[in-house]
Amino acid sequence: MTATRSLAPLSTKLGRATAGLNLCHENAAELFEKRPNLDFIQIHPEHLIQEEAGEYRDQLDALRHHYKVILHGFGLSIGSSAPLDHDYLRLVRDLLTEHPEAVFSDHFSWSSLSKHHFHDLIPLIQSEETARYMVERVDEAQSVIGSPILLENISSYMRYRDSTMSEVEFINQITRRSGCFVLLDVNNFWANAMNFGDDPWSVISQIDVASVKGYHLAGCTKETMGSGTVYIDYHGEAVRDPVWNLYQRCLDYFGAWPTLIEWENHVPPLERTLQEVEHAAMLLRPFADAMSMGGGQ
Amino acid sequence: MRSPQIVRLQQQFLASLHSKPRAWLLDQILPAPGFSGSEEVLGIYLHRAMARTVDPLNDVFKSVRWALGDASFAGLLERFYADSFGEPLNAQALAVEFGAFIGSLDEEQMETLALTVSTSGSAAFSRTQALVAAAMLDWRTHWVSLIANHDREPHDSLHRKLKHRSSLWLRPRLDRCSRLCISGVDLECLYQLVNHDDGSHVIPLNSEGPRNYLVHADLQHQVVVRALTDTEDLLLRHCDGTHTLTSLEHEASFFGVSSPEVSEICHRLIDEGVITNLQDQLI
Repeated sequence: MTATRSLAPLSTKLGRATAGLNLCHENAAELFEKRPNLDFIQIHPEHLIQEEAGEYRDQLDALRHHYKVILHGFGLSIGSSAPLDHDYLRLVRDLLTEHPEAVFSDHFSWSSLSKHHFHDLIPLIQSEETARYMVERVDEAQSVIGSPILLENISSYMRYRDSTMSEVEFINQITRRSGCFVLLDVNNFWANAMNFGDDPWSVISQIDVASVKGYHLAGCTKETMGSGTVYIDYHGEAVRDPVWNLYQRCLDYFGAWPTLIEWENHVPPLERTLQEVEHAAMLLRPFADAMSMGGGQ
Repeated sequence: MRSPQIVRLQQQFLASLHSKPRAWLLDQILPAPGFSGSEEVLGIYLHRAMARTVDPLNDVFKSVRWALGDASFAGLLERFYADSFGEPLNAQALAVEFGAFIGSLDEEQMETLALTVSTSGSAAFSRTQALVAAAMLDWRTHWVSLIANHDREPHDSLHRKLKHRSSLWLRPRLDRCSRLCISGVDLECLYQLVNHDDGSHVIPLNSEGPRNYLVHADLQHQVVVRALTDTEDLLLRHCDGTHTLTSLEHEASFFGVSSPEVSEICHRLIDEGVITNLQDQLI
């Protein structure tokens, strides 16, 4: 099945060669106080539900009107067998109206079943049956929101016996048939490749080029498990050098798209996080120059 | 359409959350080579589900954690999680459920839980009373921390209104999130001890019997817990929208409190962010 409803085009009001930072409880006070120059910040619509009032909510409201924003959800649970939360989707729709530069993204995963929240992004069985189901769910979500969404590849420490296709085949099937786009988390692909012994670039380069519309970068943590080491997507340290290298290859291959630095655990002083944003901005700069010379966005 | 494959997978995850991991799920999972097996990798997801669900309670119920000690509090969280019907996304909903869970413990369970609780002072209040007082203090301070200050009428405007002759017919109102309470525990002292991470972990009791307390957020959005004087308590208990300033002054006169004294208290409570409205509408 393919999506048939007409949707507003994905917003292009945020420049493509831009770099931003996620807003979280750990950095909100410092961001609120210092207001550094940033192309955009990323906010979670869930925080507007979870935090009805209070200091963080005040900071969030002030900052989302100070900066350009993108919206990134973690609670849509689009791959869940429970009904989609239309109240939540309407909130996203209203936020997209309020912030015309924003796009909304979530994940290729599930995280809740009815009232039960796992507070984690759990992988899906990668099969034709699941892909068909996901296309219908994406279609439903996009219809309520009124514009295409982006879905992010997740970090995963396991695969399923019943999966019949690779992660990238699964992603391509869904984007081709639903009209949604990919938020490419470079670190997640790298960590998965390390965990399963794959070559990260040979995985990433199979993604449909036209489907990529944004990047996420974060630091993962190396941990010792029962039979060796595993990279856990903890967002608690700086972006690793091989991930920066991979990001550069992505820019060359998929082009420049808004790039977000995520750092939510063991958050250092803002100055340090901003160095990561500046690193991304430096890699994006040649693309910005080329776009401005060519008159493009 | 429904996907039987997805339904089965998710039901198996859910079933594994509150009991032993299901055999079908363990067989379905192919772990990354660094893990010793599917049980280890599934354990990570299940542990994180529990830990991230209950994690906000560590911040909300700080006094209970301080009084019980970290290990005993972690055990209480695990019991709560095992007893829980769902895993709410919202920390406020979770805090309500946890408060209800503590309230649902019977006398024997509370006695057992409070075994590690120490109290100070000569008052004849029990350890379980002290523990419940700590839980209620936590809930109240969490509640007032959620006040949206920007909705308040500026306090200089309230002062101006209070000086006008027609103010006699205005009805002072407490901020809707403020909480008045009576306790045999010295809540003001307890709040300070917990927030300064005092190492004694001893809940202070009021040796001279129960006292009146106010829990509210000041104009800087900071939580304040303080004991009230009898006059303040009397006045604040009548700031419920049913008493005009005239009425408050009249009733205070029977306790030997003058009108200027009532007015002075009202001005002070406005400055403290306690009285946030002078109501003049019927409803």
